[in-house]
Amino acid sequence: MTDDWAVEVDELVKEFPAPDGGVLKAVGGISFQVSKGECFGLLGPNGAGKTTTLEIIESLQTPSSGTTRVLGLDSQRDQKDVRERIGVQLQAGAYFDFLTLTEILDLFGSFYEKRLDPAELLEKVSLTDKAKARVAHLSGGQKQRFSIVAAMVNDPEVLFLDEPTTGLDPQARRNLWDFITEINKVDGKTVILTTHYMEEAELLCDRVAIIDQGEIVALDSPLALVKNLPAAYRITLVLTKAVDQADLEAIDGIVEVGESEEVDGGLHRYVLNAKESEKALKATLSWIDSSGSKAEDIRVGAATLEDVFLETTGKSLRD
Amino acid sequence: MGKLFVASTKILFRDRQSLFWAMVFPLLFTVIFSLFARSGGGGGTVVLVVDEPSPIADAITSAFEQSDAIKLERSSDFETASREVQDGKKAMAIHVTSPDKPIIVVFDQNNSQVTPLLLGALRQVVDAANLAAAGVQKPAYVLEQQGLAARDVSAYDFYLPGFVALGVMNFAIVGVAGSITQYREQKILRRIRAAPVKPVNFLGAQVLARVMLSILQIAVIIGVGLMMGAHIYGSIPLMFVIGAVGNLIFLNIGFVIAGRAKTVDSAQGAANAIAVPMMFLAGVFFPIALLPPVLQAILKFLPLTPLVSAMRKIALEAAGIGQLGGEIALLAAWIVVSFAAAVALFRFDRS
Repeated sequence: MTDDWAVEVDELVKEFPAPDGGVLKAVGGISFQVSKGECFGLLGPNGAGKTTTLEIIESLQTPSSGTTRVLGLDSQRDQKDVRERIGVQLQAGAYFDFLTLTEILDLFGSFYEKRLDPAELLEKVSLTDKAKARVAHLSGGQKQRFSIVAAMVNDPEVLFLDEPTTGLDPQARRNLWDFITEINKVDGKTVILTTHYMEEAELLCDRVAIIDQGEIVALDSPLALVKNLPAAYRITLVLTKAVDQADLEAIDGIVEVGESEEVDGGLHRYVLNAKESEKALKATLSWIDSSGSKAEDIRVGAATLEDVFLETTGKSLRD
Repeated sequence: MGKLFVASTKILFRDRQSLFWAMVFPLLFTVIFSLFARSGGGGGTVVLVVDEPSPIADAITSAFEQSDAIKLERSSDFETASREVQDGKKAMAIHVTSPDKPIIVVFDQNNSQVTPLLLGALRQVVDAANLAAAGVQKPAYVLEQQGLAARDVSAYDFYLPGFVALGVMNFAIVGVAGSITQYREQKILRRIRAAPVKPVNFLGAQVLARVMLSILQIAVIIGVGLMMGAHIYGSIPLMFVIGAVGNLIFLNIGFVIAGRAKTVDSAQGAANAIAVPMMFLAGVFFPIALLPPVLQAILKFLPLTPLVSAMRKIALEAAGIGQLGGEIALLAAWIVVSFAAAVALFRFDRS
């Protein structure tokens, strides 16, 4: 039943004419489905094709080939119905400079058959006291909150957020995460967002599609993506004596030995990558006992989506 | 649509900077030119130098003092007075030496507006004095003058309708080109497109709000112009109608620019590149009849030309719709052409 999906993307291709006369493939035939009530993330560097994909689903751009459906409706054929039922926050999108927040919500609400009360919406994002203010008088975090709530004037079933936290300070970003979680988990709205922040995707999304150069290179829950890495954990050791790299690599459960360096006070630091944390940690500890060296510090950390991205694309997410 | 219109109107009124340029720019001309017209080129000041009292000197004095249009100054230094005429500070200097010598008059022969009036008035006084001196009680022939060109059209009266047209053009072209491009840059147009509303509703509301503001603008310019002493002899409501119609042409041109421009700066540059030359070539400041015929033949097809011309004919000649056939035909043609261009070239949102 197609009705079970909030969004379906099927073999989506988007090509642009390139400046040199050739063809630029922004989206190279991607497919995925998003369930109702899910928070789904498109993660990738700038220019990966995230925004293009989103805007085709939103019916703002036409695909070169392939189809996208929202709540069982075709983005192209059933444009008006799709638009009636979705909420769209554009990347770095602004609102009228010379209208108050209430006036903007009221105006945009008038475009939809179903509309929410501006006062109610502003209360939701704690901007009630700014009802008569203009967007220019809001802080960065308030602006982003407003732009999300302005995408919800029609009480949408599916909400699209294009880089909702780009340019925010850590505190404001955290507040916005809470708000997005609330929309998704409490209000039960399906949320599809793009981001190039790993921690954002890990924290907010039920599932993440990692996109690079218009292709999905990995798609799963953040936890599963990390778990499936050849080395999902990282053990950092600080030893009192230098040891042989080959000996470290021979420890049971250690996949590879990363960087090593001499740190202050004649100490040596080694980074070991492991598939499973418990087994590798035990083996490492007993190896240290037998090696004659002593461990000054041991830390165990999980790999992040950053590592997944590095592993799947061979490059770092940040430019 | 109603909310869009209200919102568009609010934005127009709250965008003080744009409002300032829309209103103040033509108003500035309206006020400054009224000041010019007042002290203009020596105006009607006549300097009278009388060496020795005589009946003719008294006759000239009383004749010129009676006239409201002429300001009579007395002086004893004819040389200085002549220089002032040459410098354009005075309209005429009259030297009455002694009864047996000719009366010497110096005047600015390039001032075709004032000089003939002054010379005529002076000649009348001298002729009357001559007749009286010759003992003629009742002249054999009398010239009864009936000025049919009775409208006392000042230079300022001429400028004002031009400024009305200028204001209409400027506000429409520069305003639309700039703000629509800005809305696109800010992704507001795309956000509207993401909603189930037709872009044409948004554009229609924009046009309505702007036509309304332009009518207000015409009222302000005409109001200030009248306050500053301009005369409008024809129907002011007709000027509003023609102004609103002309406004549509320039809104269309503004939309064409907004459709092609990538940034607000380039949109405003393009708008000014069209509006500023037109301001000088369409007869706002001087009649295009003064230009070479070849140029005239081209310039009369500028969209601003028939607007200025129609406004002026209404204001100065009290022309009705019946006398504006040529202008109305050109304006109608421009509405069709500019609308077709806007439909073909305007892009609501690029993606």
